[in-house]
Amino acid sequence: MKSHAQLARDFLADENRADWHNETIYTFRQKRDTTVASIPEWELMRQAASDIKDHVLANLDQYLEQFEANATANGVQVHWAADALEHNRIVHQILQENRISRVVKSKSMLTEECKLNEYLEARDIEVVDTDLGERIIQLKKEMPSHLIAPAVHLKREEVSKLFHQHLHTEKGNADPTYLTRAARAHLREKFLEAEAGITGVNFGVAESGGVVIVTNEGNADLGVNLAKVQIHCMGIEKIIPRLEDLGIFLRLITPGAAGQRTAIYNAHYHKPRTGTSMHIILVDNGRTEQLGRADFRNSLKCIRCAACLNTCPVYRRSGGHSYHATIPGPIGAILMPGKDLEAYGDLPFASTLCGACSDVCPVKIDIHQQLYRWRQIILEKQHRLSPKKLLLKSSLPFFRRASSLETAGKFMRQLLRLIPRQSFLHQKSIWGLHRDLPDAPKQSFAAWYQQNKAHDKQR
Amino acid sequence: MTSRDKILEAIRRNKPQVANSLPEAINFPDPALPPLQLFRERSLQNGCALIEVAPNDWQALIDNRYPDCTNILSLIPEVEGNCGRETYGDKTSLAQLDLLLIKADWAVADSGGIWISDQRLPTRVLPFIVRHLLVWVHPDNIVTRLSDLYAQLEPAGQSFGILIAGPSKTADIEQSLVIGAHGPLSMTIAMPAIR
Repeated sequence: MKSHAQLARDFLADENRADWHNETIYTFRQKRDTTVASIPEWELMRQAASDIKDHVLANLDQYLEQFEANATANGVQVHWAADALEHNRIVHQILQENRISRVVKSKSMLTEECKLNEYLEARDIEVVDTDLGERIIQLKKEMPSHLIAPAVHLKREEVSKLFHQHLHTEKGNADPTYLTRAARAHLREKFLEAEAGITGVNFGVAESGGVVIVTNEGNADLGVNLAKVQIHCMGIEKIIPRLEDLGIFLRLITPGAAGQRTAIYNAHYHKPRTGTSMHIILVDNGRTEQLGRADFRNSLKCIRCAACLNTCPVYRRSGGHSYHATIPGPIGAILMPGKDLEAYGDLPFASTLCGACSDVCPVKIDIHQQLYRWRQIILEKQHRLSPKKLLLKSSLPFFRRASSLETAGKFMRQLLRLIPRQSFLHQKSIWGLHRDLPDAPKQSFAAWYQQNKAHDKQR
Repeated sequence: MTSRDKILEAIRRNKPQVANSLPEAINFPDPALPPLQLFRERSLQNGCALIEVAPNDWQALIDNRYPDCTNILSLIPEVEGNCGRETYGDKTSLAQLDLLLIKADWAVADSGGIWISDQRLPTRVLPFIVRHLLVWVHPDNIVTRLSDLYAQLEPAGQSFGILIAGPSKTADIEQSLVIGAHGPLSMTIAMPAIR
């Protein structure tokens, strides 16, 4: 598999497209800044949200039990899945028991993580993603490249071509309103046909036993409320203690994405409709393991708002697909190595460690610190000596004594003058690809200092 | 061992041993505008239309504002509408609804959102499936911010509730904002006319 660096290089080969992507994503960041600046209590809410999430992680077992008890009392069927496969099996079983072959699904990173669509499609169940961006990439057979804007990497002409092919829209008509209306008509049919609606979950409220789903398009609520079975797939870390905590979290989750002060729809599902059934599947799939890693556990506080993606200079200029992971961007780069260090060990290096991600995180995850800590772990596991390490080790004797440093300096200054630049800066040298050799100074700093200090005294 | 027990056991083994307590409630600063004004401003920003209606003006308003709406379902006593109970259980009739008139339980000034609970909805899909949504908001029911709304809700006994802050929208095609994704194409907030 290609590494992030290789995939980023492929992405950057089309310079115009890379610039367009960078600017698009940076617009999200600017909108976020404007909105956040207009909320005087922003920092108070961030701190409270971070504290609440810390508190939940330290009491997660109790809150999950409370959540289960209250949801069950509400008439909801609660299921537990240790891993992705079990999650998929449970969904399939619910569908089978109800003889359902057509399903609509709203946006859910968890079902992406579990590869639910593939699992169900292999068992002759039609799964239609109903978020517009999700539907686009489903038709294009791609992965989402962004947490809240899954098709952000595509241009309108590409969507137009895709819709012409699948939805028979006019050839060459790339007007976003026209294309959106076409998708609306197409998906209306699917909503009316579907027998089950599947959603992700943004928040599960322990004290009331309900789930909250945040959307703009209205697709989650159409899907769930037209079907006879509703299934909500929820990572165990999505728990919050009280209904009133939503007063903070719902205000923190949207600004980071594209500067929205609020989502259009914040839906609170507690009980099934009369004559229908409601299921909540609580999924672990590696989360308890991450909880056991003291240095990385607070990555579980993430509410998937995408603020860290939008602010990251590396994400903006390498695109979501370069992370070859369900969760891209800085948050993905700290979550994914916990799932599979071998497969995702390149991701913590896809960062400048500038810290912008931590600054914008609405629940105060120390993302850049964790990126750094993953690097330590990954480098320790690499037994071979890297060229950088080798160079530093071999230069150690020269740094140990002032006189040997002086001699080495003289030698290097001479060498810099004599050596042909091409020998360092050719195409095949990784070092020279983005670097130049310095001009050799006339003398060492020590010599310069001696000379000028003497000069000063004379004045 | 069931997955439930496995997960709970793994949490107990792995969770941090020291727990912080829940933070104190935030003492929010006062917003720059009084709730009614703030609500009006924010609903406009969300893409809603704002109108004022006097008790006798309803029919004229519907006729003028929604001339092409034939299937009207009204859940407010002032307007009769022409679709009734028979609509609720039938997907095809639901899909043909043009306009829903409904009262909000609460409105939130800071977000410009309105709260509708199960008690007002004969079937939950109504506010999502109609082409146009008109919501009646009484100024007495406007709270300042979201936390004030939750202070009004009882955690036990919740069934279904929806916060709606405008017509459905999307920007999934090249970040171009399109009003009217899967839910309503328009949302109007109606308030009593000020004498």
